Amino acid sequence: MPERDLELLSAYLDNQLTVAERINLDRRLAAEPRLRAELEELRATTTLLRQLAPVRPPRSFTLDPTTAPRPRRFIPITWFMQLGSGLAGLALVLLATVQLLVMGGVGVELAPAAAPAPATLEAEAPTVATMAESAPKTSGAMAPEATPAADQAATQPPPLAGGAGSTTENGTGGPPAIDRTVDTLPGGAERQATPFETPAPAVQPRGFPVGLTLALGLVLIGLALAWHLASRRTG
Amino acid sequence: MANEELRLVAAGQRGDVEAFNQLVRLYEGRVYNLCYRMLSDADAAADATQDTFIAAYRNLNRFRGGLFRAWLLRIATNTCYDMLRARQRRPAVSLDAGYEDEDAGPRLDLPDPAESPDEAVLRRELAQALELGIAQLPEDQRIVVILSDVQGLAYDEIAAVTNTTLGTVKSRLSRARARLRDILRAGELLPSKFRHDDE
Repeated sequence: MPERDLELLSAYLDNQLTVAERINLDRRLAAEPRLRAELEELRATTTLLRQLAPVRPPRSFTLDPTTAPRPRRFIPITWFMQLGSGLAGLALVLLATVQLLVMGGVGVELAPAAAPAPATLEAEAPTVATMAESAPKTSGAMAPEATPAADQAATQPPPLAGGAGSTTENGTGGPPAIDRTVDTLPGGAERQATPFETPAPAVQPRGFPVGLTLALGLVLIGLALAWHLASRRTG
Repeated sequence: MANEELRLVAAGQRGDVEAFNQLVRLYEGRVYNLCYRMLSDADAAADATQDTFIAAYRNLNRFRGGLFRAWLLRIATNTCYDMLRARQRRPAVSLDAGYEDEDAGPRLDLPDPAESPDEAVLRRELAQALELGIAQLPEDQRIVVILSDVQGLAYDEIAAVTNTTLGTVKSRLSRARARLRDILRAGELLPSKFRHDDE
């Protein structure tokens, strides 16, 4: 007898079939004596099981008031954790959304774009002329002492048109260029970077990448929901 | 009834042992029988029953509404599983030790005066075969058949007690019944009008 048929017959005995299943099974029972016999055997088995006499408990199991432990105070720590992670996730998603709105989505696009910046700089580095050309653009009328100019550039990124310059507008692509400027200028514009100079490490964009914030927020919300559903199931 | 039960639960949650003991009196027979069928041992069943009520009282504040009976039977089920696991680690007690145990408490199947001696013997044989058959079932099928066919719980309540879905309950129950049917058939204990020996 296929297991599916056994399951149908068992559920049939308990009135647990849908109307369509019952009609279909009734039709089969009328046509298949073997199935009918199986049903009767299962019915006999359940009847005998229901007639199984209960066993009388050997003693009373009531608790002694003098020795019974007090009910534990239930601190809904899991509830707080669910709520906390849910709220934290929501806050992160909101933060990421605000970041995206404020920056018009540039932040997400810039994260991968920030990597090529050092390479670009390195290509520009060997020639002092290039530096001298770019420095005035970034700091306006740059004085011989480079540090104040660099500071100014760091705090107030100048608007640059196109190319790598546009990365400074959001502060993510800017720092490598500025640091490089600071690195090369203190020795005067004469300091020349050699072609073998180790490129400066890519400076990570300040703050958390928006995509990561969003993903973390969604993960926290998902965890809180899963936790909530699991705890509902387990009671 | 349900309201009275919830009132007793609420009183128990506040530390009223006597209110909780009313719940114990209400359910001790059912819990003990569940443990007895699961463990097939009267002493172990008594221990499991006592542990169940102590655990239920200690964790009464975790009960968040719904059917108290299902919640209690779930604790009993988990207690039995723990005992069965401990028994598997230290298999010192025979599975059918309870059947010959004089301390098991008198059965409630008092002989029917209208019953012939042959019928009484057959009934006893049947009961033994069923008890042995239940004891041989895998634990997950055993609990479902006890709750459904011995204790008469509905599928949804069984699903709540065993922390499974309705589909799983249906499937386990059908397998358990088929297995018990096979045992009865093998012992020729099914009433002859139901028997078909074409296998």
